[in-house]
Amino acid sequence: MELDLSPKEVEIPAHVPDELVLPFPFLFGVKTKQDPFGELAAQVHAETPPIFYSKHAYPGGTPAWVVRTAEDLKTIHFDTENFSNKGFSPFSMIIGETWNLVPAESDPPIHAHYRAFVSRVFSPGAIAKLEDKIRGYAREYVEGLKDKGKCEFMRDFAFEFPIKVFMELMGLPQSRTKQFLEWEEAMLHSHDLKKMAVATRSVVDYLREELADRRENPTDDLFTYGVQAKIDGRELTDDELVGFTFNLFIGGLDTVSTQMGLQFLHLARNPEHQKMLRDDPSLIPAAIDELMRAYPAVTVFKTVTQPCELKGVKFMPGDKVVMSATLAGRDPAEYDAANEIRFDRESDGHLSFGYGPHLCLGMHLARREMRIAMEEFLRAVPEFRLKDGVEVEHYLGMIQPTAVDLVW
Amino acid sequence: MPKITYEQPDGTRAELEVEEGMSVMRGAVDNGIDGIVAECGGACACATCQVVIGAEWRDKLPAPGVLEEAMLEDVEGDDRRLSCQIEVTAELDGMVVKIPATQY
Ligand code: HEM
Ligand code: FES
Repeated sequence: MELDLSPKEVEIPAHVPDELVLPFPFLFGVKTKQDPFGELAAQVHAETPPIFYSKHAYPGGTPAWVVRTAEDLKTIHFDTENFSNKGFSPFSMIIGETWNLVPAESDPPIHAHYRAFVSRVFSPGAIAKLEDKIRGYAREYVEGLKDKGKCEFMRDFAFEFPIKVFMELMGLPQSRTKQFLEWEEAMLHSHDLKKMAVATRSVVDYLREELADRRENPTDDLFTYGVQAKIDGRELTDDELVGFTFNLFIGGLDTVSTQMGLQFLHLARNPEHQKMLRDDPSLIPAAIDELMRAYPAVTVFKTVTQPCELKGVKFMPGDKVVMSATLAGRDPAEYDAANEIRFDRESDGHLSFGYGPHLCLGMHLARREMRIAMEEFLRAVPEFRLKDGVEVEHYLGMIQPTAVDLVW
Repeated sequence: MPKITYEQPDGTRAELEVEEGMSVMRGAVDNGIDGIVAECGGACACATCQVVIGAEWRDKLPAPGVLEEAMLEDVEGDDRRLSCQIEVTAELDGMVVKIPATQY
């Protein structure tokens, strides 16, 4: 069964003024040869008001508000009273279960308890200890491909590398990496409801088995951390533990792969930027943040919980809101020459890891993975470029290049 | 207004008047003090607003909450705090906070 992503005939609710109903190009399940950032995002900024309504902007082809400016996105990210994170992901539903992602699909006050429990293991200090392990995995891939003169960066490096780090954290055998990649692809890229459900079921069963195992055989991994943790004086329920470990799976793998792909696509197209970073690798952290600013891949969704207003636009309970980091990163009101990539940009920050209480839990890990990947690749591989004649395509939804063919 | 001094890793200092009720983080960010990134905007979710508080001021501050403690897990030194979680009060007039060399 194909996941039905086709545009639906939708009725526009009475509180939405006609003139705010506008087209939005970033539709889930769509592929494009246009540049999603320099063309599509720039076009949205040039042609639409700060907040507008679009008929098919929500995954599944249903309507939602689109908020296009960094300023308004920040306001909403902080406004947990009016905008809820509950129930934005389809995964537990498609397998007939009812758990929520922990902490992503929770609201205050329990959200802060969840964060206090998980932040301990994702704090900058805790993550810094993984430096050598992460570098070891990055080297394995880079050593394996550096003499080949070419690679398809997503397949040969970006997809698997964060899975290896995840397996390490979770105490899972590295031999399962390919299996995890298959599940991830079916869940996030097949757009086939049946395949998604089968893969989700496999992942959830696997997580439950591992959780049961660590109750019996505690070690020092994150499953053990979860089963032993207390929040607000009580243990986590089985559903909460599944929601937690599933959240790490769904939030921490494909996201890193995607951002790495976008970063290397940029470097392949801009040899002068490669040279800058090879000449002075200490610029890499700032470069990664500028590339995160300019190529944000992730869109998250909120649901309105009570009637409220922002910049004169009325929201009603149940309204969906598209929070596109991609638009925020190219907002001309937030950044000078938003479409130029400058590694020495005076930092204005970015919303590519979100903002406010739900800011990406894995941010410190993700930054470390991306930095180490770039350091190791640039150290071992000479100047690279895109293979002649390939036309780059991106999936929309989460904005991911379909392939990044590099030659050197 | 209470005065807060922000000290950079190289020793340069900026003394600022910060309104009571504002956070030490907000005082820095709104006045363009370098080195406090505050990526989450003050939600105790990023740990990029760290400051080092000297012994003479530490006890005058309310103890960190569980979320702040969690964010500072394994961070070097036990004199770190998250500046978004410190509310400026009249009592803190004259406090010096040191900004670490890096927030990451
Ligand atoms: C470059 C890679 C990544 C990007 C672009 C990214 C992006 C995001 C964004 C935008 C959010 C905010 C959601 C919201 O506002 O509701 C988020 C939340 C989250 N991310 Fe990431 N992420 C990345 C890597 C990771 C990694 C490596 C992990 C963990 C291993 C992770 C785990 C999470 C979790 C658990 C949340 C939910 C936090 C909460 O709701 O409190 N992410 N991520
Ligand atoms: S500003 Fe993010 S933790 Fe203080």
